[in-house]
Amino acid sequence: MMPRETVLEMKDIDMRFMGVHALDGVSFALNRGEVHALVGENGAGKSTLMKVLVGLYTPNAGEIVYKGNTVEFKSVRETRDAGICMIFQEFNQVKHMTVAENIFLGREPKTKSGSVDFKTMISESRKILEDMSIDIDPKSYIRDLTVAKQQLVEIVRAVSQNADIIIMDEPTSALSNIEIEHLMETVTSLKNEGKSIVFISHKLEEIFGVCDRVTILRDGHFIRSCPIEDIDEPELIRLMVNREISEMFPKQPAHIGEVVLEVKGLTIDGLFKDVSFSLKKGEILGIAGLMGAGRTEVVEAIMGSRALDDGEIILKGRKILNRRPKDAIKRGIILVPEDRKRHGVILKLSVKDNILMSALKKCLKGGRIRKNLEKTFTDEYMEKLQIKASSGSQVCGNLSGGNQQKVAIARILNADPDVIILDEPTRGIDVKTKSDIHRLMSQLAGQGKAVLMISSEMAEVLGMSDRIVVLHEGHVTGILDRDKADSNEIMKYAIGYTGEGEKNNG
Amino acid sequence: MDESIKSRRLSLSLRTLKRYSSEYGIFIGFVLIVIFLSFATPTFATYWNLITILRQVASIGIATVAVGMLIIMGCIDLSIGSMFALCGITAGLIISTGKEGFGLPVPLGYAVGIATGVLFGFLNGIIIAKGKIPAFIVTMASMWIARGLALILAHGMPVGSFPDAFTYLGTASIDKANILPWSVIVYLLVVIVMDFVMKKRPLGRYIYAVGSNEDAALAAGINTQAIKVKAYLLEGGLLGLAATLLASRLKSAAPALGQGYELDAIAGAIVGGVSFSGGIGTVWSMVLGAIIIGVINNGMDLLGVEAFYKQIVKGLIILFAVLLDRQRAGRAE
Repeated sequence: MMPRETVLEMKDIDMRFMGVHALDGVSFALNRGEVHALVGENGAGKSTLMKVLVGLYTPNAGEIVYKGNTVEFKSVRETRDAGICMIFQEFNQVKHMTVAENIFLGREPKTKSGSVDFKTMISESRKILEDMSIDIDPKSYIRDLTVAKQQLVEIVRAVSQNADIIIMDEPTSALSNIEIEHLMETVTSLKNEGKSIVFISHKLEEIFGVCDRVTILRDGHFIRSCPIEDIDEPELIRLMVNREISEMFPKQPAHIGEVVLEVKGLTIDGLFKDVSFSLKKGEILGIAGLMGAGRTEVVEAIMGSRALDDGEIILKGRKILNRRPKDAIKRGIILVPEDRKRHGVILKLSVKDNILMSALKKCLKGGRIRKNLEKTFTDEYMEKLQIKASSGSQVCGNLSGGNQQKVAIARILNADPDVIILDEPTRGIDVKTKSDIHRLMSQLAGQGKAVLMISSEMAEVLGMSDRIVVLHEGHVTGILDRDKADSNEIMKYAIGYTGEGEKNNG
Repeated sequence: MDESIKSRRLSLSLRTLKRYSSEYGIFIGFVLIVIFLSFATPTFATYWNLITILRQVASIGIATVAVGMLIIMGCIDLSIGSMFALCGITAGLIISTGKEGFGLPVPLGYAVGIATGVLFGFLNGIIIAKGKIPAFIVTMASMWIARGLALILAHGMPVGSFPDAFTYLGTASIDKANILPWSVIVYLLVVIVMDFVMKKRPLGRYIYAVGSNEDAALAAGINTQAIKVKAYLLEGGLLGLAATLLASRLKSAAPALGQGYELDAIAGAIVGGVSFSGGIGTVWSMVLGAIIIGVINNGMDLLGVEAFYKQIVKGLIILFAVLLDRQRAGRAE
């Protein structure tokens, strides 16, 4: 193969969000006419890097050289006009408009008088769809399409823009195998036309099947970039996850008792299928998996925020049905949600109000909320969790992220639950608070609570969990014991890779 | 025939029925109201009464189309009523031959009325788009400001003494027999133009896109701020036209003109099926909505319903329309 011309170079890109170092001097080079895989764990910085490229984020430092010139794109439009087009993970579509209108959104063909030329738009769309052998009527509305077809429309839109660089952020996550095949054919033919494609994916068979080069990121750092022939699957997985497991995760041994919560065959069509596991007293059960594996959805179903299509939940030997979170809380199951600003704490209320919210009845005496009881409980938890607030009446919005998370946890502890579900309990909080929360989780297990923890952080999963349930695209692909689990093993299950030669497409 | 197929067919046709009833529910409701009023009152189903309704609907109908466009974009305008007063009074002062008026040529009066609307719409739009402030708040503020300006300009008194050339548009008809009033023709023209804009012009399509998914519109390279400003500017112009038309029909412009019109206009759009969550609605359905509100007002007058009860009926109709919208939105999810 002759050496190819570099079309894009990103040099030493540095990006910080509110103290989080998302990209630390990352470099990335893309050649003309290649498919370049960009891989890494959740939060490795893949999407962030690409969003810097298309002008959605402005980096703190670094340089982008495109076709020989240093560029600084300020908007998606500018980037697109320059020939770079990104297909976002979250679909950016106008659901009340037709397929054709979405494909041409922002660059509609016009008639002489400047009106939208629907005839041309529809015939052009039909032609592009046929060229890519995609069976979608350009006149149908986006809202009536399946998620997979919506994804295909996204891809069609990018392709139809005649971009030189197309960035695909996990384009196949919602597609069926046949649709994936079509997409791969499209990718290959685009490549043969001399276009460059950045392909963000977790699926090894796609990476090894269609990509020419691979760049690996981990924790916002550049790890390695090489031709795909120079790397094999186990090596790739190792590079993605390899890291020092620090001593930050002190799970103390706890007495593990009888099964408290058991779920059997939980299914919500389109989200997850046949999810079964059990949770014991004194145990921390980790749920690992990649973004979109359905972890949050499963616990939301347990809590009653989502209605199950099938399956049962058994609490202490009795089948239960939670219709709304209130039912679950009454039965002693409580969730600290992933997005603490949206579901975890009420930012405009005080620390006290937040802590007491789930069990305000405890402060009632003679039909009246007693100030002294409020104070007793608030002080107890502020002390226990070392919440750094000037007083119980400080507004939560003014606390640091870590302290907000502690307030969220204090709230659920105050409700005296038997089963505690923590969804990403330490995402985006500082190291000190993180270890406080880990210590607390250990203590809770030690007191005989059953803890279910979702985490995307490999070290946290490995450090804290007694057992680990791994989800891949809505299926349980493995349940590992603490002593048998390591990051390679978990990653293999999480990406649905089940051994040499034998691949699980999921 | 296989039982399961039969039952599936049945459930399919039931679903179709349900779909149609929510799609055309408002139209069916409208037809039922018309049938009821035709039998219940001797005068409702006469040509003259229908033309009276249309004449009354013309001004508020233009405002309905204007605000409906904003609701499709995910915005709102609460200053409509005050804008009626302000635009009516600026136009009135220009052409009035009374001592407070300037007595200038009639076309200039129309131009100034519309220009006032355009200016206020532009200001509303620029503050909403650039300041990223909710339209509800901004237009609530301009509601007070416009009303205040109207009171100051008119010294708190109605402006009158309009030349016949000015009142011609609101009162006269295209033919001698008074069959087709000019105001209805103006309304019809606005509707046809706006239908074209919303369906065929990039501005209209972008208004739908912004209302349906603003992030997507932005990511597609649409200047969403500019779209918002343009939409408010257009809305303001339409309000200016509606206000001058109303002043022309009433032969005066009082500072209290148009009080509560924002609610009638918004109600018309909602009853016509414009979704409050944005992205859905057509101009012709807004016409239907405005006419339904007009017919109900008229019908209750003919039936001699007390004013107090009218309000309850209007409220119930809005609730009914929103429930239908909910059902539609649920299906679109």
